[in-house]
Amino acid sequence: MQQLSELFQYGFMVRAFWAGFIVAIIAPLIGNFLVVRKLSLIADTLSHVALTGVAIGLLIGINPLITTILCTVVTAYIIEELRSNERVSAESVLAMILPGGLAMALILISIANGFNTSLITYLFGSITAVTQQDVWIIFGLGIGIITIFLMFYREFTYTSFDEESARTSGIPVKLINNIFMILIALTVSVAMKVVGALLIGALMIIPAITAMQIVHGFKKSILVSIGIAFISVVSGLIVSYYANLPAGATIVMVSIFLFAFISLLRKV
Amino acid sequence: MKMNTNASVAIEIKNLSFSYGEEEILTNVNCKIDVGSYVGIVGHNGSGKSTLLKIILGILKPKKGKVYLFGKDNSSSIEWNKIGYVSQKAGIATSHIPITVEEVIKMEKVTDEAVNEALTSVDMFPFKHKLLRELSGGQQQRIFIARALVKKPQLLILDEPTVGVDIKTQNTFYELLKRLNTEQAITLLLVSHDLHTISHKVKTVIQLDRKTYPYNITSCSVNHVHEPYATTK
Repeated sequence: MQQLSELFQYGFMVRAFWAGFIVAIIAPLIGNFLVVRKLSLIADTLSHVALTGVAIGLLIGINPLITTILCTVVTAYIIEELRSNERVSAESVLAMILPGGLAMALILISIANGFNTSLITYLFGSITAVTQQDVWIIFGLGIGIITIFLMFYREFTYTSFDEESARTSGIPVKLINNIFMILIALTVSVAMKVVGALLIGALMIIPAITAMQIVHGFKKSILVSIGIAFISVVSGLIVSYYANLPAGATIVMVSIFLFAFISLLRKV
Repeated sequence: MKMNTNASVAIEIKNLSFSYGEEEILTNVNCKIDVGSYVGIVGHNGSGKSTLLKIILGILKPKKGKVYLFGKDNSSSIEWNKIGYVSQKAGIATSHIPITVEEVIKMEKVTDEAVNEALTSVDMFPFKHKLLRELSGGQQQRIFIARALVKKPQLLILDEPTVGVDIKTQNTFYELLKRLNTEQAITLLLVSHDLHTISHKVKTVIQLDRKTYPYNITSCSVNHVHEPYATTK
């Protein structure tokens, strides 16, 4: 217990926990709807685009979180426009934009030729890199995402499960889909510093599919998945600190362990 | 807003044409569906059934012509509270998601009392707290009908409602639709590729392609080859 309290004497750990708590709420909140929409890959796609945002931020010398948000929101809008016109399948759109985001990031890194170390902290997450300014931005955006989510819960649910029927219920489907895509983009940007761009998709999806195995009801699935993400983030941060492991990777491995454990329990 | 003064008509289609690029799908369709009718739209794959449905619901814009729902031009506004819709894709997303029947109905903005009433009307109230994925295909269709009925619509539109449902369940299902039409006076519009079954169940058949179906359809028959008005009985 004393060892645990030692943990909170370090400013970077306190900041990591605060940022982690917010991410543990918003990632599975959005993730449940991604599973319903069969759009699990979108988080990975936007996280690759987020790298472009990071590279731009580092290149022009402003907080990369801001440029990341801009890049992911614009890309999320483009994805939704391409997906909704039904001329290109959602899967193909994601398959095109994912490597595109990575390619653009690599080109920018090559042009800058010098911030590879900084970029790695965004690729895989780094709790020591979370600044007080990041915490405030993450906190503000997190509250915003949760508020919008609560305001449009029924609309998000109806549109995710049955877009055509939602339209005949008078729901402005296009607007709701655009708002939802912006929330995904913001969540990816917010979570990147803690979990890492390449691992955020896992924290959105794994707690959701774990919860869906054991709950009776969609609302319960959202609540239980937040609990699972919370356990993953807290235990992942603690283990990573004492075992000197990368935080994002440890958090994701804990969530995979919980998924495997619950899957096994259900079979017994 | 353009109005059609005939309030006894649920759907009126006037000189409607639609094409995807160069390919004309619907040509000069004219039809009136009276309030209280029980109508089936049939046609082979690609005959334009789903396209016509999407135009009626305002999802697609016609190249030419107008659709009036309860006398109002659907390109101006649609009174969604008067229309219930059961999509062909309604159950696609639910097979792996633990969503309850109650949560499905509550996707509409309604009270608990209205949920109970809608489930009772389709004989599914005992299943209120069950997971949707635990129900059979026929039972799931009843739940989606309950969701469409929960806002007490005057017109219920169903897109291929019996795909993948066995014959016995289909018969029970059509009994339910007949009851909704006769007892609750709901106008029913059913879209199906199964002309044989539909022609025995509904009061009126609208055939979108006569050339392909050599059946003798009585009552209303509308095709898209320049046929004048046909009013359902």
